[in-house]
Formats: sequence, C-alpha cells, structure tokens
Amino acid sequence: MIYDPNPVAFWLLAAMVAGCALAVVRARKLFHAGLALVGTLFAVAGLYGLLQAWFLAAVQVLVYAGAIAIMLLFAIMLTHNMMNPDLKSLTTQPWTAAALCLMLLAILLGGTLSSTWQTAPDTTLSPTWTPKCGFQVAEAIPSVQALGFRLLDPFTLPFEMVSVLILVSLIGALVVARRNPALPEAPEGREEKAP
Amino acid sequence: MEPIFEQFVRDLTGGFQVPFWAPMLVSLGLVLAFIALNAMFMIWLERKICGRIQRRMGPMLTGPKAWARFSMWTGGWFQTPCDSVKLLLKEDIIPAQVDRFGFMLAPVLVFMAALAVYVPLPISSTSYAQSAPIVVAVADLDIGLLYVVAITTLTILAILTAGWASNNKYSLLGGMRAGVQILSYEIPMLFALMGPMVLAGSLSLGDLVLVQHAGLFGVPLLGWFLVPSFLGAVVYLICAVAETNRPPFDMPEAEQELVAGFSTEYTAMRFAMFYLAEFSNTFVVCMIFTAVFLGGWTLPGFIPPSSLNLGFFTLPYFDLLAGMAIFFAKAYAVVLLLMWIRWTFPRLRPDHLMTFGWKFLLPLSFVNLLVCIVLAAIQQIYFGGNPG
Repeated sequence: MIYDPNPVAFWLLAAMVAGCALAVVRARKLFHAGLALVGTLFAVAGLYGLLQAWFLAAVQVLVYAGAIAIMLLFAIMLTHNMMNPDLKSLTTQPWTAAALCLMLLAILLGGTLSSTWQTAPDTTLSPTWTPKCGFQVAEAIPSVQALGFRLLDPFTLPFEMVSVLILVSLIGALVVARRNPALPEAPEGREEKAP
Repeated sequence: MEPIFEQFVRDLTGGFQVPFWAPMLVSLGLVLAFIALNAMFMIWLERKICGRIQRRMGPMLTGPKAWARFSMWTGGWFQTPCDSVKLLLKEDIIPAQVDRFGFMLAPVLVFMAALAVYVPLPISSTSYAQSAPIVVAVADLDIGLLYVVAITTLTILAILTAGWASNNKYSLLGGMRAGVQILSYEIPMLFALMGPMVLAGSLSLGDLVLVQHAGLFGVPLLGWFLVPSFLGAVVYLICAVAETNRPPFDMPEAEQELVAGFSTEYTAMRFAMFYLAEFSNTFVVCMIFTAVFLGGWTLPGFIPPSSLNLGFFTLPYFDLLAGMAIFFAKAYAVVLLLMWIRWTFPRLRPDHLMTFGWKFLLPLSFVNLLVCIVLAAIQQIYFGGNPG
C-alpha cells in the first residue's frame, strides 16, 4: 500500500515555508520576523504531517513553534527600542555571509541529492504509477507506541545522551545567570538610560 | 467522522458516494456552529450563575416577559444573541498608532487555535451499520492529547501578538502576563495528562475513553481515570483554569490594574473573536477533562443499543445520541464547577501564581505520574496486558 501525499497540500506548504523564511529575513520590524519564523516552523510541521509523521509534527509545533518561538518573541518584546521600525538589522559583512550561506546550500544540496532515501519499496508500484509530488511514502505509519518502544530498546543510549545534553545546558544556563557573589549587587530600581 | 457521515448520506440518498472534501466541510461547519451557539449559551449561563452567587438575578429583561416572571433561570434568554448582534454592528476601529499587521492577525490566530483544537475530541461512538464501533470525532488522531497541547501554544502566540501590536502599555503587560502564565502552566498540565496516557498506553482520546470503559483491575468504575489519577485530575483542572485565563487566574486582563489587558484596544468583531475563543477554550478543557478523567461518553456497565425501536419508528444511531447526551452532561457538570470556582475565589497575585505553578503543581503532577506508572504495572502483571 502506497501513500501518496496530496500535491496541492505539498506545494502550498512548501510555498509557505519558503515565503515565511524570506519574510524572516526581509521583515522591517523584528517582531514581524519572529512571527514569520513561527509561520515557517508551523509549515514544516505541516510537511511532517503530510508525510504522516504525526508525532514529529506535534512535537515540532509544541517545542519549536510553541515554546522556543515564544521565548524568542519575549526576548524581542523586552528589548529596549525594538518597536522602532528604523532600527536596522546590521549586516556588516554581507559577502562573507553570502559565501557561508552558499557553502551551506552546497553541502545540503549535495547531501540531499547523493543519499539514497528509503521510500516505498519499488515492488509494490505498478509500472504506470508515478508519484504526484515527486516522492512517495510507505504506508507503514509510525505509531507513537512503536516510536516509544524504539526509544527504549535499540536507541536507549542516544536517547539518554540527549537528556544528559539538556541537563548540561540547563546547568550551564544557571551558572551563567547566577550573580557573581564577588561583585557588589546592583542597586534596585536603577534603569539603564536609553541610548 | 468520515465513515459515519458517508454511511449516513448513503442511507439517506440511497447510495450516493460523497466526495472526499465533503466530510471536512461538514465537520468545519458543525464545529463553527457549535462554537458560536455554545459560547452564547455559556455566556448566558455564566451571567446567571454569577448572579445567583452574588444574590442577584443576572440578565432578565430581554426575551419573553412571561418566562422572566416564571423563574430567574428562564429569564433573559435573548441577552447574548442581542449582544452578538451589537458586536457585529459596532464600528471596527483600528487605532492609528497600532501595528496593523499584528493587530489584525492576533484575533484570527486566537480563533484558529480555538477551532483547530476540536479535531481530536471524541464526543460519542456508534456501531450502527458498522462492522466495529467507531469513535465519533472530527478525526480521532493517534496523537490526540499531544495535538491538543501543541495547538494551545498558538493561543499564547496570538495573545502576545495582540499585546505587542496594540502599542499600549496595558496591552503589553497583559500580553506578557498571559504568555508567562500559559507557558508555565502548560508543563504541569502535560505531566498531569501523562498519568492517564501511561494507564491507557495511548495518546488517542478515543482510546483513553474506551480503556476507561473497560475498567482498571477488572472493576468498571475504578477505570475512570479520576480515581487512579486523582491528583492528576486536580492539577489538570487548576492548570486548565489558568490556561483559559479565567478567574482566579485572570491577571492578563485584571481590570483593576490593566484596564482589559491584551484586549484593551480591541472593539467589535475583533474583540468578539477573543471573547468567543476564550469561552470555546473553556468548554474544550471541560471536554478534555470529561474524555480523559470522567470516562467520556460511557457510563459504567451501560452499553446503549445501536438503534432504538419506538414501536412506530426505529431510531437509528441511538448509541451515538445517547453517548453525546452523556458526554455533554458530564462536560457541562465540569463547566458548572469552573463557574463556581470563578465566582468564589479572589484573584491571585502574579508571583503567587508562579510559585504555585512551579513549586506545588509540578511536583504534584510528578507524584501522580509515579502512582499511575505503579498502577499500570500492577494492571499489566496481575490482570493481563496493558489496558490499551
């Protein structure tokens, strides 16, 4: 059984990913850029959903479009003078940035094109059948239960390592945020002057 | 939804095959109509209950005079329809200094989130003209509970956007408070829901209800997750009140301090969107509570027949209707509880809210998860198999 994603949905989502990503870079107000980032992440979740990776889609929305993007928006809202539309997002080294971006693109494209993707086995395809999206997915829907058993049996070590990594970053954040007891405490109520 | 709708149309028209988009459109229409009508009724009920608790009668003047003379619970029926018409006809003002894009986006986002969250909620099940009982939901997703929690985060985004785009200090403060509050209470809420997830061995809301009907340790009523996961139910209910910004957790729109919080600058339909979404979300958390902790559309030891013979007429889909009646009765019981809480407790202070959420509710939800894991293990070892 082959599951063929709806091409209209795919192209709509792809356009949304690309359009929102462009808006992230081009938006004049930083807050709009943040909103556009949420749009991108959400559309990526939609792509996961189109590939029937429901769990991944939900986690993408919960963690990226939800928690992380909201933290980002909080930071933007609390930063002084962010409402000012004349604020330039400075690009001091455009050519270096462009070179780096092109390199990244080359690496990603090379990796994508050269790897063999595990899609539906060819034996189940009829010779006249062509995928409408350019890709097809095997109908074996990865259920949440199956995912859970996989995490507990063959992939226990990577799973636990990730949790250790999160713990390390948490402790790191605490160490960075902790007040240095050697320094005198900042007096309460003194605000920084606007530049 | 799909198989039932297709079957229904086939029975009605004698074999007409509906196109694939028809069930989607029909469910969208049904959910939209439900949100609007239910919110109207809930607003009326809220005002009546508020009135009763404060020893007054609430709205009495709109609607038939005879009904109002009969009792306070039958008066003022037309108040919310009248209010809705007023909101529809009011001038839509966009203040000059707001960020237009965000200002217009926020109400749409908040309503989108309120609408999308209805997808996995199971309201009943039916076995009429089906080979096996089917759960009635827009789509009983494999990841139902996770989906619900994920979609809720969109509400925070919308409220933050509304607060920032209004370009008003009260709005900004309200938006920030709402964001912090929902974000912090989402964590104990997810952990509180994890207990039932472990007990059922599934994330699908339909499965959760079916497992509860099957019972724990072979005892039917013990299967309602309210019993084995009691702490989780309490934590979930508190978090649900906080998530929907209802009093006593209504700091985001505390009128004595913040005018109206994030909705200060909004008027007419844009304001109505926020209001509608708030009531819709309140009902949704009650529906989730019903499905996860109160056994959903089932009653212990009661399985309604798929069709009821009334003598002169055979009522089809009787189990669907009976299930819906049970489900909504339970959900409205939870709604009444939330309204009672709302008009009884004074508002919390923001720092109290944070301490309460992080230092009390979160550890409590961990304890609940531990208890549920132990119970699920006992069930698995001594009573054969995971209930799910």
